[in-house]
Amino acid sequence: MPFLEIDDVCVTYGRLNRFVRRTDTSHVAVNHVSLTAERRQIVGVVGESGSGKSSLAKAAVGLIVPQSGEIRLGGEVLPRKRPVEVRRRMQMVFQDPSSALNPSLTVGQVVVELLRTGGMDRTTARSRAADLTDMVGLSTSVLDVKPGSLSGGQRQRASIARALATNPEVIVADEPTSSLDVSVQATVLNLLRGLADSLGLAVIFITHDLGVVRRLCNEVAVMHNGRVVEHGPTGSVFEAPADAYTRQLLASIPTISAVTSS
Amino acid sequence: MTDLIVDPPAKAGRSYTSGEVVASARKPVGRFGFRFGLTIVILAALLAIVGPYIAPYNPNAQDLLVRLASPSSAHWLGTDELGRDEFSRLIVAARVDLGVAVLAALFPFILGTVVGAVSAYFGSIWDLAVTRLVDLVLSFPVYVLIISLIAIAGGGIRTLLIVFTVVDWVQYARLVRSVVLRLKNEDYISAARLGGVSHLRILVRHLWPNAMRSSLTLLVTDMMYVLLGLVSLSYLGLGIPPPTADWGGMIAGAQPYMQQQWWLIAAPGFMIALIGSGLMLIGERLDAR
Amino acid sequence: MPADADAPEAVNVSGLTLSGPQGLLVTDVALHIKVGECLGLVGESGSGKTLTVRSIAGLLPSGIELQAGRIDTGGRRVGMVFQDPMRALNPTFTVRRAMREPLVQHHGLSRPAADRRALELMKDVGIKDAERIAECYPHQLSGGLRQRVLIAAALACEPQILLCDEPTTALDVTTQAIILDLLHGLREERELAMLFVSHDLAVISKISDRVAVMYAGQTVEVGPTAEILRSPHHAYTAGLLRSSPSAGGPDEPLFAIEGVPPQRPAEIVGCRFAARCPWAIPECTCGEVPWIGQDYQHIARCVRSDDVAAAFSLRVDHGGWPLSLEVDHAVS
Repeated sequence: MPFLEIDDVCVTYGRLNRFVRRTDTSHVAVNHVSLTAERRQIVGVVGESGSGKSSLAKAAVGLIVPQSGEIRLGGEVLPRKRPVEVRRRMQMVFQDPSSALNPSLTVGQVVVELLRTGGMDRTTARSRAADLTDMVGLSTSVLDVKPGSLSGGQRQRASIARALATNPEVIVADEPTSSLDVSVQATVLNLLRGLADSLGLAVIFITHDLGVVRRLCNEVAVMHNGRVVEHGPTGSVFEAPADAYTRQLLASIPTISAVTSS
Repeated sequence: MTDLIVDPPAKAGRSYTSGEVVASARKPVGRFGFRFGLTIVILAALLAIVGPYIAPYNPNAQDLLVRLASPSSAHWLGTDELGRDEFSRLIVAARVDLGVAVLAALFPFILGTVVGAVSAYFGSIWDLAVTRLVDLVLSFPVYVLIISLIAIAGGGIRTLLIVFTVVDWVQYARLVRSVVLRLKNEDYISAARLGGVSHLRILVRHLWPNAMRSSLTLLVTDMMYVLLGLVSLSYLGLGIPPPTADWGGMIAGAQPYMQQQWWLIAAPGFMIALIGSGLMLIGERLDAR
Repeated sequence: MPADADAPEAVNVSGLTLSGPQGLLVTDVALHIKVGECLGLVGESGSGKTLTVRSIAGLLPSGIELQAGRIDTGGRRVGMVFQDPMRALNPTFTVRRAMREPLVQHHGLSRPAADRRALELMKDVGIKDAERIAECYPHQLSGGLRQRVLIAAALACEPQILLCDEPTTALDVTTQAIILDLLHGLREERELAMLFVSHDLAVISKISDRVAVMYAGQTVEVGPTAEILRSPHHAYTAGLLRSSPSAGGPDEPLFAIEGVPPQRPAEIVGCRFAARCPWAIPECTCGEVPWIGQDYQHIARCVRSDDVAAAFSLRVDHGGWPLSLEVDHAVS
């Protein structure tokens, strides 16, 4: 039985304001999507804008309540309105490093807040925060600094430290490196890979970049217009794509063909 | 390589819209203006605090034998129509007018900020109710509403404070609501929710500081309008009840004697204008940042 | 397709130095683009590439000044395509009105003539159903269509030089491929000199004949694209190429250059990349590094360019990106 199961989930937008306005233009963002992930596995979800991948991410983590479908963790069905202890088991790493951390608080304050919400006392929380910054490869001086003084790569790593503060079992990373320079992208990606292995996390990695998926993910799902059009081990999806959209996607990627590595 | 001759680069087919030209013509308040305004306001605050203690005469003491006297060494600004020392009344009025103005701006600020933030954060039907209420209040012309409420509730300082609170909270609510609506979708708020941080803590720790900045700026400029409004109401006899000294009342009382004893109107008028400008200068500078 | 060797130079930038409130942002940049040629400008955030292209267009933000240097476009008309169409197009103007403005203001066309010309331009950039699109607002269009409109607007002044500032970064990869084809086609048809700025070497490799690599406010390597991709002569270029996920097999760990770009690049003596470079020797930081290059076609600001080029054919874990300790520190 897989560790994380997203089972036949649908997310629809546009049904607000029941009392005032009836909207007929409701938009189905996620259309009967199913996905699984094991511990120590990184599953890639690839799609372009409008594919529904971000909505899927938010539904998985509980920020949005799906219209239908179930999400199960370790066999247990997660309730629609998740209580705090359940919410803390699945955390998210966001795309934009500058809005992922409160600009008016120091990194330490943010991490400690999450640790204390979990019941830790102040002193233990401070030392645990230092451990977490270590784990993500940042020096502990980062705790006393506001995110504005950090580089994009450092901010994203601090974001991961924040996500780890709740001892989650699943991390959903929504395009975590898309806003970073390519020369620092790898530090964040290698970090995720390392953490998945050492902490036994299941990671869902959302991206539009197929090149990254090929190097990082064991399995990949391709989304288009809210549906998963192709799903399988990374190698076979790249070598023998079954779906026309996947083929088109693969064909459009510009690659540096002249780069050699023997 | 460090040739300082630069050929004018070819324009990239871009036209400058008129908006850009106009925007550069209006200069913001500089540091001097800000400091000047701040000084005035601080001095006014000091005056309000120590005023009654340094007034040479009892501001309500009438002496009909010396009514409408010209300024002299005994009475620096002369006496008003009931023989009361104008100077004493002037500085005592500072406490009344400024004190009530501050409170009459502070209460709506508190009420409006809280209601706006909470309504934007929780959204759905509460937010709808609040926005409709705001629209309702705004649909009345401000002074018609104020005057009607005063007429219904009777005069006095307590009524004034209640009326201003009821009428003025809406602008803070609207402002804070729009700030919070924008901020609540930021990723760090979602992250806090995911971490299990309570709604109250998010409002107070994460949203409040950002909402406060715009709200406080509004407070300063609003205080100026509240002061003017208060003084105008007092002038009309609907504000601070006599015989308490207040600038608006002083102007109203001295009005029939405008021709000869013009200083009786000029002095309070000058105070109002000065403090009003001080508040305005501070407010504009805060706004520009 | 590379331009004629005898084609005249359309853009000549030399010694470009831009200063801002915190010091020099761009130092001594030189670029040359021939008619019909596309020069790619590659760099990461803070490299100065956006400021460089904006200075050529005359669109420097306030506070940033041209302190020294020469920009010579020979009086040719310059068109610019911006990165984010949602921000470059006025959201309250329909496409028709947005296109009309430059035509009426700069070419003195009457309104009906401008509208006709606008439709022609839209067709030139491949917008089918131009009549209907002209009545739309930007938010009603897809990213690809918006970008096409932006390109059409840039072509309105009949430019001979086209500056593109990351025009496909905000687009999906499938749309990106289409827009790149479009730009390529336009360049050939109209013999434009093109400057294409991007942070993505893969995109640059698809569209440009030559490429200039920028780091920390300077150009560090310039040369024909194919050659640079095959054999980079500057350590930063090599690092950038290796960082691309498509470089390297699935079993190799992803590569990242150690460290971050310098905070105050203008204060550094010598090579600005030396702090992060595994080949750095004392000579790199004792004075200004000269341009090295066999022919003047492919040049790099690196004293050890031979070593860099030689190591590039190796895998990272087989000496392709040596640890600094392994490098021979002998002063030459």
